[in-house]
Amino acid sequence: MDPALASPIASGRPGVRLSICIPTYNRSWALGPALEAACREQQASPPGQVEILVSDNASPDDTSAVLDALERLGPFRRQRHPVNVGAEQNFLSCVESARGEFIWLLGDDDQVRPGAAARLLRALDAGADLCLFAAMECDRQLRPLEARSWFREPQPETCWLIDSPRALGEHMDRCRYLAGLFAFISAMVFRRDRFLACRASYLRGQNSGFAHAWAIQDYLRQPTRLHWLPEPLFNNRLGTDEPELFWRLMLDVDGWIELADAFHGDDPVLRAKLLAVVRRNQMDRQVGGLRQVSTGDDGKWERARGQLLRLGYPQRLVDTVEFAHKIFYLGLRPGPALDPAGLCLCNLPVLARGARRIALVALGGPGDLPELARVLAALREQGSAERIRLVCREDAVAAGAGLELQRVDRARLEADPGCLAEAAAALQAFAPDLLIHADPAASWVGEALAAAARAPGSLAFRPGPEPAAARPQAGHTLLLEPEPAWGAGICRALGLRVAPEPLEA
Amino acid sequence: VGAIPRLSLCIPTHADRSAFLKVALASAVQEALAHPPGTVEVLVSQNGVAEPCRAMLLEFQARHPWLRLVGFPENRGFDANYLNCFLEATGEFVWIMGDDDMFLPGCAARVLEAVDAGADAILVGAFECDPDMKPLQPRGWFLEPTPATVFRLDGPEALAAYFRLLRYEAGAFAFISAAVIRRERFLEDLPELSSEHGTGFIQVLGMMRFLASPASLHWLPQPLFLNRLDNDTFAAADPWARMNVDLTGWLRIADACFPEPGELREAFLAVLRNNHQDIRVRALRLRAGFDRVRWREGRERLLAVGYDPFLVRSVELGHDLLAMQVPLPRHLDPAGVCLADLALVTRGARRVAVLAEVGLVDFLGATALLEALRTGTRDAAIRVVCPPELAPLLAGFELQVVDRERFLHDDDYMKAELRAIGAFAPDLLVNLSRQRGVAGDLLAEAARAAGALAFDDETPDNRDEPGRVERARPYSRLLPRLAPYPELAAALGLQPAPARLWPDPASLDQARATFAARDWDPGRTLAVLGDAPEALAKAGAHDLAEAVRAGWTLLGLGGPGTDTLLARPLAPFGQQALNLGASLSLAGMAAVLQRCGACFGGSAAFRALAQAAGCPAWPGGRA
Repeated sequence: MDPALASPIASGRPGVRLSICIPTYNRSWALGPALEAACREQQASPPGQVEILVSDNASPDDTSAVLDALERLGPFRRQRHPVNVGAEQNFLSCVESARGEFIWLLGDDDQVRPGAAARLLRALDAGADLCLFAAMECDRQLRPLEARSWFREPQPETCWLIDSPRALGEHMDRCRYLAGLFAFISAMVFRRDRFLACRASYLRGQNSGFAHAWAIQDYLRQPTRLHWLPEPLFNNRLGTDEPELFWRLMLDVDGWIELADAFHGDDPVLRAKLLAVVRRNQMDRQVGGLRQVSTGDDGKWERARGQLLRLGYPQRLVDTVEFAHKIFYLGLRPGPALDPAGLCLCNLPVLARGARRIALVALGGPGDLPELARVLAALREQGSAERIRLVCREDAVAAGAGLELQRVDRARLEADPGCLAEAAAALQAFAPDLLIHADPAASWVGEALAAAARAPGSLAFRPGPEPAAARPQAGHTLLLEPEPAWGAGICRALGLRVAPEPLEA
Repeated sequence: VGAIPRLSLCIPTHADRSAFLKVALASAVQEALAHPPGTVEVLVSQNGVAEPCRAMLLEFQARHPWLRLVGFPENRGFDANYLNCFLEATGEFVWIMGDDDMFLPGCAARVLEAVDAGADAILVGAFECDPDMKPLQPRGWFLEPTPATVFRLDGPEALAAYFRLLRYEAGAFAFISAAVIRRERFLEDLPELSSEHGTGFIQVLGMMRFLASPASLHWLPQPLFLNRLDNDTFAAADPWARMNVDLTGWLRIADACFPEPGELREAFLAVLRNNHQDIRVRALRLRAGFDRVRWREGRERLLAVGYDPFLVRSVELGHDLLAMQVPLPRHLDPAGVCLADLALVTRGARRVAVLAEVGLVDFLGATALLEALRTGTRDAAIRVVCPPELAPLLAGFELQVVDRERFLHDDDYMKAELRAIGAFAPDLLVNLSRQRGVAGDLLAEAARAAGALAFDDETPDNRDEPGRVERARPYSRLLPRLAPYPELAAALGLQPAPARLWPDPASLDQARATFAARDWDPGRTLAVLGDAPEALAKAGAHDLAEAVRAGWTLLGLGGPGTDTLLARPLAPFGQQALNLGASLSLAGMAAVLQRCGACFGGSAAFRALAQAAGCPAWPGGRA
C-alpha cells in the first residue's frame, strides 16, 4: 500500500481539488476504459488539481495485473484491501484515502467523459457544495445510447440553495429518478469532509445498497448549494447489473422506506414526496415486478404487498396487479359458462345483477339460516338470475323454498372422496356465473365444492387458522372477513341493498 | 464388407461451429470405428463453412480418410443442408445429428438391432446436457414414460393415436438428432425445397410423407445421444421470430399433410401445443411487448394451431393490465373484479353507453339494438352519444350530443366530452359506427367500460395503418366490419327486438293534432313519401286512386323541395289528401309515420325511416 494511505483521515491535503475514485471488485475487464478516460481528464486539468484513486476490494480476478499494466497511462494511486470488506466499506475507504476537497466516486464499469473534469472544476469554483449531473447511457461496449437526466422536465444548468425542508421538497418534486436523490454514486460530486462528517448516517444505510444516499440526506441538513449540470459527464454502461430478483427489489423498497422514516419520519409531506420519487423511478413497474418475482410464494407477496402500500402505491393499483397476475401467471380461467370471444372484465355488483345462474354453498347448520335467508332475499329481489341453486344440508332445506336444492350430507362429503367428487361434478354442471360460499366458517369441503364450480365470480369468507396446505384453492374473487351479520357482508360485497332485519328463514 | 453401409451418421453444419462440431464428429467417428469398416459411414454436410472449421474438418479427414466431407460453399439454409445429407448418404439408414449434439457410445449397434427387427424409422431418447455438455437428465418424447415400443403406423387412425401420445414435437420428428430413417423410402417422396415449406421444418414434412404409407416405427427410450440445451442461437438472437417460426412451420405442415379438419390434423396440432404447454401463449404475448400489431399476428397463429381462445384472450387481458398498465375501469372495485363476458356484463350493467356517431341510414339500422338494450337490461341507465340531428329521435334516453366537427377541431370541447363520458362510467359500451373513427375510439377509451363492443374498421387498404390496432384497445370484442346489425345484439346475449324511433313529445303532439284537425283515422292514412319522384311518377296515380277508393286518406311527406313534387299526384284527391311537403322535421315525420297505416314510394332512406317507425309499405297496411 502507498505509505501516504497509511493514515487515511489525515490525507486531505490542500491543493487537490477533485479526487476521481474508482472502487472496484472483479471487473478487471472494465478498468482499462475507465482509467484511460480518468487519466486523460487528469492530464487535461491544471497540475495537481485532479487525482485518481483505484481501490481494489480484494478482487480474486486479475485486477492487480491489469492495474500494473495500466500504470503506463499516467499517475494514479491504488489501494487494495487484503480481504473483501464489502462495497460500502470500499466506497467509504476511497473517500477516506482521497486527498481531494471534492470526491467523485465512479462505478468501475462507468467512464468519465472528455471535458468532465474541467466542467466540474468550473462548477466547484462557482461555489457548489454538491454537484449532480447527467449520464450518457451506453451499451456494454460503451457505445452511447442516450443522455439521461434525472428530472421530470428538461432542466437547464441550475444552482439551487437547499436550506429548508421546503427547498428539499421542491427538489424531490423535480426528480424523475432516484439518482436525483443521490442514489447513483457516479452521478454526483460531494465535499469530502462534509461527507465524512455524515459517516454515522452512511453506516446506518450500509445494508441498503445505497449508503451514499443516506449520507447525502444527512449532508443536506446543512445549507447546501446544489449545482446541476445538464450535460452528461460520464458514460454509464447498462446491462451489467445483477438480475432483479425478489430480494434485490425488496432491498430497494425496504431501504427507501427506512431512509424516508429515518430522515423525514416527522415530516409527512417530505416523506411522501421522497417516496413518490421511489415510485416514479420505476414508472410504477415495481408493483408488477414484485408480484411477478413472488409467483408461487404467497408469503413473499404478502410482505411485498404491505411494503408497496407503505411506499404509497394506491391500493387500487396493487389490487389490479394482483388480479392481473392471477390471470396472466396463475392461469385464472373461469369455467365454460363464458364466451371467450366476448371475454372482458366485470365486478361482483355487476355480476350479482347479471348472473344467469347463482350457486350458494351453505354447509353450516340451521344457525346460519337467518343470514342465509337475508342473502337469498336480496338476490331474488334485486338480481335477475334465471336459476338459483342452494347446496345445503338436509337440516337447512327450509332456506331454499322455491329454489333449486342440492342436498348434501356434509359428514359423508368429508369422509368419502367419491361422494365429494359427485357433488362437485353436479355443481360444475350447473355452471354458475356467481358462486357464494355462504359459510362464515369456510369449511374445506365447501371450498372444494366452490373450486369445482369454476364460476367467473366467487365470494367466500377468509378461512380460520386451518393448515393452508389442506385447503383447496378456489381462487375466489373476494374474501370477506367473518362478522356476526355475515349475510349483510355478502350483500354489501355484491352491491345489493341489505334487508334491515334478517327475514324469517 | 457389404456393398452399402448399413448406417450413415450425418452432421450438417454451417459457419464456424468447430467448437461443438469437433465433439459431435469425434463421437460419430468413434461409433464408425466400433463396427467393421464400411458398416457405418460418417459424413459432414457443410453449408458455407468458415475457414477455421474447414481446416479442422480436413484435419479429421487426414486421420480418417473414409470420412466424407460434402456440401455447399455458401449457406443455403437448414432445409437444403438437411436434404443434402439424405442425397449424399449411401447407408441403408440415415441418422442426422445436430452439430452441437453428440452420439453416445454403442448407439449405432442399438439402432442396428432395431433395423434388424424390421424398423422403417427409429425414434431414440436423449440425454439432456447443459451448454458445457454436463449431463442433466434423460428425456423421452411421450406424455407418459413409455418403454421400448413398436408402433405400427398403418393408417390415419394409428397415426392420430400415436400423435396423441406425444409430449414433445421431437416425437413427430422435429428434432433431427432423435430420428433414424430408412433412406430409400425417405427419398421416394423427397419434399421439394420451397420457401413455402422453408422455415426449418423440412424434416417433419418429409417424415409425414414417409408415414403416409404404413410404417413400423421403433421407439428406443434409452438415451442414445447427448443433447446440448440452451444453445439455440436463433432463439437467443430473436425469440419472437423463433416462436413464430415454430407456429407457422407447424401450421404449414398441417395444411400440406393433413388439410382436412378432423382428428388427425387436430392430433398433429396438439403435439405443438403440448410441447410448450400453456407457456407459449404467455411467452408470445410477452415477446410482442408493446407492439399490438405484432401481437395480433401472433394471436391469429395461436388460434390457428388450436389454442383455447379463452386462454388466449385471458392472457391478453392479463397482460394489458399487468404489463401494458391499461387501467381497470375506474368504477370497478379491483378487490371484486373478475372475468366475465359481454352477455353477463350486459345483463348486469348499471350504466350503458351507446356511441351513435353515425349517419341517419346507419342509425335507422341500429335502432333495433337500442330497443333490445332498453328491454333486455335491468333498469340500466342508457346514454346515447349522438350528433345533434339524431337527438330528436331519441326522446327518453339520456343523451350526450356531440358535434363531431367541433370535437375534432376544438381541444377544450373534446376534453369536456371525454370527461363527460368518463363521469358517466358505463359498465357496457357499444359503438354503432362501422367506420368507428377517431372520435368514437377516443370516447370509448375515455369511457373505460368493463365490456365494450364495436365493429372492426379493418379494410384491405388500412390493415397496416399506423395506430389503427392501438385504437381498438378499449374494445373487448370487434365484430367484422360488414356484420349485420342484429349480430351486435347477439354478441351482447340480447333477444332481437324490432327497430324503433323515439320522437320528442312536441313532434308526437304535432302529429296527433294533424290527424285530429281533419278527423282522419291515422290507421287509414297512407303516407306518400315524396323524395323519389320516379317512384311516384311510375305507378303513383293508379295506386293512390285505389287507396282513396278504399277509404284511405293521403298525407304527403318529404324533404326540401318535395312540396311541388307532391302537388301533382295529390291534386286529384281534394280533401282526401294533405300535402305537408317539407314542413316537418325529421322527428315530426317519424311521429307521423308511427301513426300512419302504410307508406308509399320514397327513397331507400325514407323507407328505412318509415320501417323504423313501424309503418308498413303499401299495398298492405297495419294489421
